[in-house]
Amino acid sequence: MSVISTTKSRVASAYRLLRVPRPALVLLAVVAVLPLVGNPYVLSVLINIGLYAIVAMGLVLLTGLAGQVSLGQGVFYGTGAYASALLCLRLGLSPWLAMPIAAAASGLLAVPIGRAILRLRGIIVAGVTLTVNMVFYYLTISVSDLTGGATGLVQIPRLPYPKVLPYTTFVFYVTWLLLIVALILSCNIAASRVGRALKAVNLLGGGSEDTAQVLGMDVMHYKVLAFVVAAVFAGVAGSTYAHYTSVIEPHTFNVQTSVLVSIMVIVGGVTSPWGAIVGAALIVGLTEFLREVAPIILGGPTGAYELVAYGVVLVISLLFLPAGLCSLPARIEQWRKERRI
Amino acid sequence: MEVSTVLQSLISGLTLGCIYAALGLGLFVVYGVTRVLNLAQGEFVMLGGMLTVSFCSMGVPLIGAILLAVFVTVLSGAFLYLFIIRPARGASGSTLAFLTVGFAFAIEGITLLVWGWEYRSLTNFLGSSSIHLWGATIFGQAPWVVGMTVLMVVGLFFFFGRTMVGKALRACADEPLGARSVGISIERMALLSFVMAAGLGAIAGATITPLTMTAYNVGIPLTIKGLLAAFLGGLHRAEGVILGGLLVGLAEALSAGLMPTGYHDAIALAILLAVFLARPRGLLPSRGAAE
Amino acid sequence: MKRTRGRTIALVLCLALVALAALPGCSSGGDSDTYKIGFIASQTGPYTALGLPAIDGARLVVDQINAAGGVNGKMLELVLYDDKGTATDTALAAQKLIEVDRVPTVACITATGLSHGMVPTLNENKTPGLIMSGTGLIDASLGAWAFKPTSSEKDYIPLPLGYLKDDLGVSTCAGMIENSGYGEGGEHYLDLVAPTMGITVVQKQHFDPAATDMTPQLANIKASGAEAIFIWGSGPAGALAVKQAREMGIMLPIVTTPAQASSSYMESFKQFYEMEPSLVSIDSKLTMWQQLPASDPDRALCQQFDEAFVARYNRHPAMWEAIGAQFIMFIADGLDRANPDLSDIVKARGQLRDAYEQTANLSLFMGTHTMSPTDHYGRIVHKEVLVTYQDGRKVLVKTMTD
Repeated sequence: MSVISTTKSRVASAYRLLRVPRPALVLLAVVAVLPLVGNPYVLSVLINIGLYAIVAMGLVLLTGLAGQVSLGQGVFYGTGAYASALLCLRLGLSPWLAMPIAAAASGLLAVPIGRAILRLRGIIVAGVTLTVNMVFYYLTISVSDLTGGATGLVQIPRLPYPKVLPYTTFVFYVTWLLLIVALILSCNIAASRVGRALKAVNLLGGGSEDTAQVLGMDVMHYKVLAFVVAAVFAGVAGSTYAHYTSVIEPHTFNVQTSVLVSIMVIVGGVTSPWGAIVGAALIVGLTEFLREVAPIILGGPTGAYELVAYGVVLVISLLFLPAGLCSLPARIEQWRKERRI
Repeated sequence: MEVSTVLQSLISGLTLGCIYAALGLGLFVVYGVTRVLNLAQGEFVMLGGMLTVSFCSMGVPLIGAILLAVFVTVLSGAFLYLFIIRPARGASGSTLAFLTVGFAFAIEGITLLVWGWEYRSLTNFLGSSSIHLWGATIFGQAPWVVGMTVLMVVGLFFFFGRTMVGKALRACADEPLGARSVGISIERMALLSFVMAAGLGAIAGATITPLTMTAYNVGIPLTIKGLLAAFLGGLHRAEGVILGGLLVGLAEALSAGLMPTGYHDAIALAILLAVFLARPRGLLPSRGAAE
Repeated sequence: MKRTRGRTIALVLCLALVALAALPGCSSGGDSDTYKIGFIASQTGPYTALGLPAIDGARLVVDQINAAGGVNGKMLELVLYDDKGTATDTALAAQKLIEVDRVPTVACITATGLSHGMVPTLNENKTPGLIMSGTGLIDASLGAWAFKPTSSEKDYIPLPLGYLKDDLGVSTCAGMIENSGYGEGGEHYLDLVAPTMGITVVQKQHFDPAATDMTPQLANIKASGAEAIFIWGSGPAGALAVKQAREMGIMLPIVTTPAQASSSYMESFKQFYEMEPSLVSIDSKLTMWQQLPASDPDRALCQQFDEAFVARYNRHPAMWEAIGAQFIMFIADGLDRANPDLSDIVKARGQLRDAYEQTANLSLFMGTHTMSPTDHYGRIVHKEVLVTYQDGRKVLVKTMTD
């Protein structure tokens, strides 16, 4: 009896330690039933959204909380993918074991890189992370005995899964469950004492480091922590990607991807971890929407038109909501207030 | 290690360095005045090249073609500022930067639609031919590229240092509030900076096309190289940006010539990374004002 | 609290977008009157030089076949998607073609590395498809559903090597290798085959597909004492390398891969391509059919396609147009023999796959193919040629059978 009640109270206190925002539970419910209505193509699109959202969420923490711009998430996305693939292909590990090891590897890699880079301030961090990403890209091509070079790695084993589900459906569940876990973690980090302090430091602008020191905060330590968390998120996503597609090659993890993830974060908004999901959904959704609609309106190859439309929509959405889609409620509030006056 | 190989790599590095410096300067002009990182700078360079090729193929003599190309590119730069950047005044630096990215995508797509995917080239200006020197070769167009960059640098120094407009631009960058209080229109200066960057980019584009060819998608890689030059040099001093550009070019070429062949791209960038970390505030010390 | 409401709105938006993404899933592609051919190619991105010409070639053949009454009385319809040069877009395009458009077959004309990603997708979804990989390294792992009716460098690399050894008396060469999947394949087979033909590769240099200055690499090659240069790549840098080599005074024989033989480079760099010793490129018979003897069975095929292409597009077709076209020819041949039952797409795909496997002696631009259950590449006649450049035209130097 007492064992049960002790366990119950332990679970209850653990639950209290980790706040689960109600919308996350709603999302979980939606995710659970989605494969019943969506076909494999839709699920593929959603897997893509989910993977990017995980990477983007790390970036939201890094940028929104720690105030650091990074064009280097591609490095950790790639580290997760290659590490996981190689652990399975060369050492014969199970993908389920490889995934956390790969995520940890991404995190470990982020420590020296973060320590070296994050003492820099301002826009230069964008340039440095850009360079790091480019070095990573060229290294994955050069060290071809390890990484398969420009051709990449093939026949990466799948995650062992219950054969009652199609693999795509299974990966969809894995991806969105990981995303929801990341979301809950992110919300808790943002709401935590450290998170709120970081935000205060960040909001005060460039000269905030001094204020932080006055407050007695070791800002550098928390910035590196945020960088590592972002790297771990990206590593998990990369590993999932590798076991989903079974083929990986260097271009998937280069600067283009880092920029794409940054676009998602800007479009979604850095004020909330939800911004990552919204941004990823918008950008991937936009691309697929254009792919669907363009051939109906125009005949023949429509790729160039889609590119133009993509740029135009990006500009328009940023002009209307410069702080991202998550700022929409705040904007509506403001508009309502202005109307009242 | 052959002397001629080293020499060739140096020549290549210098030429590439001038190209990247020119791109960096275009970024610097806009960032210095508006604090906007114009990631569409490479598109201005691309447009300059593509338009010059088109006008030349229509029979317009080279000078006229370049002037027309600059004119059209400048219009696009004005468009970018007036309809995309200015309405977003007050937005964060990241938002402004990604607005220019959206613009760049649209320009790429339109260029692909109008011109197609093919690479286009120009003959060397005035038909200049290669110079051979101690076993190495200087391509005919290379002196034009170097000269263009030198002129750009000298012109910008003169402009910012001696002319009223240039000084007004500098004032906006250093002290926006003070500038406004003496009646300088910040919006006019911002427009001017975008227009200048577009014009300089177009000239650069026309000048490098005989050397590198041009196509609808050369803009983004060029912007990246320009970013490296500008960040390395430190966005607060033009001289730094030029040095940054030269460093990027030399690292690229010397690695290609002297480093183990499969690794030279990675090595070049690792060198730049090391420089970044060693001198995070830019290659040259800041000239007084707190950055 | 504001934040809770904000998050709820964000969530609602999420769901709305999810619903929007689900919309394509609702539209059904099932059509019993036309054969839909899924066609994934680079319409934007770094490989438009391959994708857009391939689309032109494919469209011409589709229109020709439809004008002649179609296949089995049904019209062909191209469903075109852009792969944007990325693996994720290639995969999504393939998924959409297979699940939403429900096409019986998919053709994928894209860079070597990207097309390799298609193989598991095709095999997973049991949809017969064609991939355009330039390297023979993949030929053994195509699986049951992927086919490759195009070139493998392992088959045509003896052509330029034989030319260098037998016609020019060269015994050492240098490789200028592009940092791409295609370049890696070329390097692999160059290292493998050249020694067996009496040529030693004394120097290898690498370059980025988008590089603009290869003079350092060329200086290294010059210093190595190699007697000839092999340029292996599909991006613009390869063509620039030819120009730069000649301007540096490197007058060694240079052999390039087909991408450098494109007419836009030929025009831009005419004086460098034609400078003695004039450039030699691996190319297809399509670009110089006028020089083929009347007895060559491919002459008529090339002439017919060339003339029809010029009439429609006002330019001459080259290698990538040919590959796009021959993919459609292969598919049409398969459809003709399979006469698949379109009311059951799963069955139709199986029927078409079997028909692809039974392809026998199909004469295409780049080769003649006979597929089998163990060989989905199946090229039995290789039709690459070596051309050189003179007075703005391509001149035949050597064929595979010389």
